[in-house]
Amino acid sequence: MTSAAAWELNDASYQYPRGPLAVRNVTLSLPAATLTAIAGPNGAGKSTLLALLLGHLEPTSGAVTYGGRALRDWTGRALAREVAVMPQHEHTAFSISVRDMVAMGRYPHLGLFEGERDADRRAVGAALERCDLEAYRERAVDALSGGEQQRVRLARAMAQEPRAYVLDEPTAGLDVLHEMALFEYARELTASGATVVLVTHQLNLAARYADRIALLSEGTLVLAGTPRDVVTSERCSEVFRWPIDVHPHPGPGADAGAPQVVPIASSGVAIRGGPVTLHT
Amino acid sequence: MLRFALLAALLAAAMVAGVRLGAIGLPTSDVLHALIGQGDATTQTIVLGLRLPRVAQAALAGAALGLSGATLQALFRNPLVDPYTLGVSSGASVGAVTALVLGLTRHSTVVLPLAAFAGALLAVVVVMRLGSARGAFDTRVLLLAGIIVAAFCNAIVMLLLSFADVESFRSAIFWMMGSHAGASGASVLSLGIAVVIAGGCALAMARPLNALTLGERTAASLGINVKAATWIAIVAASLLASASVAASGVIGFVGLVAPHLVRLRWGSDYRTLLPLAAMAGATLMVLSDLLARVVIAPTELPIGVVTAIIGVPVFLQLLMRKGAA
Repeated sequence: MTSAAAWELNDASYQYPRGPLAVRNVTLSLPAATLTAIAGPNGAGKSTLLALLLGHLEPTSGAVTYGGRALRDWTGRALAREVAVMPQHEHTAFSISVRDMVAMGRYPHLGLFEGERDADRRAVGAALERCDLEAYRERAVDALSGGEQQRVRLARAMAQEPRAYVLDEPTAGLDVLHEMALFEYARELTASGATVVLVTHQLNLAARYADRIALLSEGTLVLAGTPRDVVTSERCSEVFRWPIDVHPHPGPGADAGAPQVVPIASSGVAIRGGPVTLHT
Repeated sequence: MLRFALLAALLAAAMVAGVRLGAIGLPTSDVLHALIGQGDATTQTIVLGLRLPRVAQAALAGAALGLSGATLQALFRNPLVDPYTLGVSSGASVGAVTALVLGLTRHSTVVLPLAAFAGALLAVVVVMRLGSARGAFDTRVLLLAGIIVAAFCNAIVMLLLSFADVESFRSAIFWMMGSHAGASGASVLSLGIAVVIAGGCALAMARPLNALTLGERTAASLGINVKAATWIAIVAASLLASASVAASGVIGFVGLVAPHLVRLRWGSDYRTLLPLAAMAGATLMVLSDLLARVVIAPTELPIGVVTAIIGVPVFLQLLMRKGAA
């Protein structure tokens, strides 16, 4: 695997017009062919950071590059051939079949009036197969369950045949089966050489599946590194403002020893404002 | 391809009926004779001078509204919008009436369609601004904005018409309920040009429109230039709606019903939806015009009455489904 960086943020900040400074002086390198999880409390700036990575927002200071080029220098089409996005949620205004939805992943590869070529049909077929959606080809996307809809969006991203994937809270609202399946898919993608950036609140799964975790708090990058370096009791308790224990995962499996967070249940914890203190 | 053949056959049948039937029914043989310049002069006048331009204009205006409605529905991500419900047609009629009242149409025949286009474009942009003021498009806000824009435009039309004596030319009823009675070779030609150009632009935007129905973020992530696609679609939809209004006044619901019927049967892929909606809109308009002519012949109903009777139940059904979701 190459260790070159896919994305690089160099002292990047973003301030919303007449709004808060959502990302503060972040310097971060997202290596290619690895799975990086971006974690942090609500309002830590994860979504803004993603918008910077995708070029939806331009840093108000500093620089964000993909493949060594500033995001603003990429055309939308060229970037869409490199980077596929799986949005957190998506509203389908009209009924659309699974096959048609996944085939939209080929749009960045097609000219204005160009029909689907063999290569496009193959990419769509392969994506449907990888995401186990062949039986759903003709079903309407809006009639599927939340987990199945996420799989359709993942298949669409795969049909783009990109080098990198950005998954925005892909498991929000999903049950254990679909949650695990998504992390397994993410690991498979990196195993096949793709770069995956995944925003998640699932610290435990991130610690087991991700190669690296970037922990954000109040717009600042607290630390980026391996799960064992980043996920410690002290750091997590401080960032999430709740007492958190960290235990090594008992195994079995390759992820035995991965740090697992266990928030401590207790009465008398000050939930709002200020540093957390336990009255025990 | 079967679906294209089916709708083409339906449209052809409707157009034949449209030419044959009316205050005076004509046998097919007489119509054919008249078309090749034979038969008696009265029949020739009725077929070539009156009914053929009228049916052609109805078909083109219906196609324009079907295309415009389908395009606007993708832009606003909402099946309830069309040039009529958004007030775009009313905006076009204000533009056209303003040009008429100011006497600008005396100088050139392109002034009226251009003024209608400007009015339509302005109305789309206003509704878009109002509808997206709180982020994503909210159906309630969109529909309210459409009602308000249409009401305001209708008031302006009435005001302008009561100051100026252009009622003899085209009445307030024409600008608010529409009619194909004034069809001529010239009106068919200019409408045809608009349908070909703007329809082509809309068709070229078929994939971007598909992507836009999933939201701007998703469209951008699929490599769509959202800003460019949105503007091309806005201009095309406005041009189509305004060309229809300039020729035949404001006729409601065709742009809503035609795409809806196509979606029900054949899905929402804009590469097929757009041409099918154009044919469905054309068929619907030709049949509505025919009904308007024959129901209480020799008096004509305003065609807007017929399209509203068909369109309102469809609109309500869509609204209730939307509310339940």
